[in-house]
Amino acid sequence: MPIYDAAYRVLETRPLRPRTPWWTIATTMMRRTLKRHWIVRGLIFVIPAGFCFFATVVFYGRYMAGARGMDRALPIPGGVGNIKLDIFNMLGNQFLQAVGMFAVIFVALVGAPLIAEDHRARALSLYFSRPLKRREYVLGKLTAVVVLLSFLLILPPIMMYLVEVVIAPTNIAMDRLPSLLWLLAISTAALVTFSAASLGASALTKRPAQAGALLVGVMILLPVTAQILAQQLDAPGWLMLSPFEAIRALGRHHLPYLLAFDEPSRMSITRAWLTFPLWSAGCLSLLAWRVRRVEVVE
Amino acid sequence: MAARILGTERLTKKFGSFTALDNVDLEVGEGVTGLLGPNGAGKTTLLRVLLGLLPAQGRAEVLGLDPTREPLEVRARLGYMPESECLIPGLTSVEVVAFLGRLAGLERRQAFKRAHEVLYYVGLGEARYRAVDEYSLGMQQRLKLAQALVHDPDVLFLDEPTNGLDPKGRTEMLGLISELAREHHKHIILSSHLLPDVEAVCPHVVVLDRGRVVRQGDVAEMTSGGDRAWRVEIRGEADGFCRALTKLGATAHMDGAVLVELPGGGDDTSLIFRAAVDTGVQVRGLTPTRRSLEDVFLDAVAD
Repeated sequence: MPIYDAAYRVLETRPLRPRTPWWTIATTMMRRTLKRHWIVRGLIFVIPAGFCFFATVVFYGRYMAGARGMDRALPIPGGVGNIKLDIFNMLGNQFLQAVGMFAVIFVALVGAPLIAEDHRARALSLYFSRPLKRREYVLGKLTAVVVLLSFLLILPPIMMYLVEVVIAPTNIAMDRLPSLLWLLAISTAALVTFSAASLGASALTKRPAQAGALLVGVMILLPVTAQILAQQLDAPGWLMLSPFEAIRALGRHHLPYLLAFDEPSRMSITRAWLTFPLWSAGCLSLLAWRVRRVEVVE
Repeated sequence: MAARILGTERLTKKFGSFTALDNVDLEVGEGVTGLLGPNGAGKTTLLRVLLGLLPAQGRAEVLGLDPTREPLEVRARLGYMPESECLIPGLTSVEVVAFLGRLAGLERRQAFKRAHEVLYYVGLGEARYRAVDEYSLGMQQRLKLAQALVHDPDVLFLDEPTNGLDPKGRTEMLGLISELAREHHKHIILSSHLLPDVEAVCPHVVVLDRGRVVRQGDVAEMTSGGDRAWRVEIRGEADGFCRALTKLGATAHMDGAVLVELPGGGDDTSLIFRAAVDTGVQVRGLTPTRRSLEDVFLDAVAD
C-alpha cells in the first residue's frame, strides 16, 4: 500500500496549519461524548422536550378558554386565569432554578472527562506535536462542552418563547422578546461558567470520575458556604462564590413575576453579572496553567 | 555530510538546578540518524526543544526554521512519535489518526483517506475500527508511527519506537523505519537507548550523555579503525595464554574465543604466536574484529 504517492504532493500546497483547529477538536470531542454517554444523549433529548411539553401545557391553560381543569394541576398562583401574572417570566425563573442542577450533572459527565482523560492517556504529547496553540486546545474543549450544554440551557427558552407566541391568541412576539433575551443572556453566562468550571475541575486530576465528583461537590458546597459566610459576616460579597446565587439574583431582577413569596436576593445585580466572568476566568486560568504544566512534564 | 536537516549551537535546557541539555552542538543531515544515550541523557528533552515544545537557551534550527520562534511551522513539517504510551481515548484508530491529520492541516476527507492508508502501511489495517483503548502495547507503537506519518512530513522524530515490542514486532518496526528512509525518502531521527536498534537502521549517530554530545558522525567511521582487536580461536589452556599475552603488553580476555588488543594498536600478530608458543597453545583461527557501536558508545560515555 503506497503511503507516498505523487498525488499526495498536492498536500505540499496546503496551508501549513489548519484554520480552525479548535473547531476540529470541538466537533471530535462532541461526537466522542455523544457516542459514549447514553445519559448525555438522554438529557439532550429529554430536557428540552420535557420543558417544551410543560410550557405547552402551561400556555395552553393560560390562553385557552375552557381549559379550566388546568388550574388544579399547575402550580400557578391564582390559577391559570390569573392574567396579571407574567407566566413567561415565571416559567423562565423556574427553568433557571430547575435546570441548574441538571446542568451541573451534565457538565460533570461531559466536561469533566475531557482534560482528565487526555492527562491520563498522555494525549497532550500527541496534540501538541501538531501545529496547535495551547489556547486553541482549551478553546476546542470549551466549545465542545458549551455546544452540548446549550441543548439544555439555550434551546428550552427559545422553544418556550416559540410555544407561547404560537399559542397566544394575539401577537405577543415583541412583548416577550426582552424577557427572552434576558433569559438567554443569563443562560449563556451560566453556560460558559459551568463549562469552564467543568474543565477547570477536569484539569486538576487524571481520573474523570474524580473530576466529576469534585465539580458536583464544589457546586453543591459553594452556595451553602456562600450563604453562611454572607450571613455570618454580613458581607453579601461572599455570595459571589456561588454562580447559583447569581442566577437567582439575575432571574429575580430581570424576569420579575410579582409573587409574595418571591424574596429578592441580597446579591447586587452588578455583583451577580460579575460572578460569571470572574468564575470563568478563574477556571480557565487554572486550566491553562495545568495544561502547560502537564505538557512540560509529559 | 548531506544537506543539513537540523542543527543546534550551544543549546542548553535547565529544569531548575538540573541541566538536561548542556551546550549541545550538533549537525544532522539527510537519512536516518540515531540519537543514542542512556536513560536520562536528554534525548527526549532535545527532541521536545527541537519541536518547539520547550524553550531553551542557545540556537536551534530545523529545516531552516527556528523552533523557538516558529514552533507551529516546525511542527507542521515534522512527524513526532512520542516515547510514552499515549493515545486519545474513546476513538477508533482511524478516527485518532484522521483527527491528528486534521490538526496538522489536512482536510477531513483527505485526512480519513490518509489515515486508512497509513494504518494499512504500519500493519493495523484489520484493527483500524477498534477503539484504541483496547490496543496492545505493540499496536499502540504502530499507531503512534501512523499518526506521525499521516500528514506526510519530511522529517520524523521517533522516540524509542521499539519500546515494549516483542522480537518480531521490533524487527518489523525497524524494517518499517528503514523502508521509510529508503523508499519514501523520509529523514528520521531515531532516539533510542537500544544499541542494536540504532546499529540496525542508522548510518549516522549522535551520542548523548548527561545532556552533552559526546560523539557524533557516521557509524561506519566510528566503528572502523577498530581492527586492532583480534579474535583468536585456540586449543589449549586459555587462561595461561591470556596471561602470556598480558605479559607481552597486549590486552586479552575470553569471550567465546580469546579477544586480543595488541599494544599501541599495532597489526603485528607475531606477538600472539609468540604467546602461543610460550604456553603450548595451538592457534586454530585468527580474525580481526571491528569495534561495535556498543564499544563506541561505552568509550564515549566513559570519556
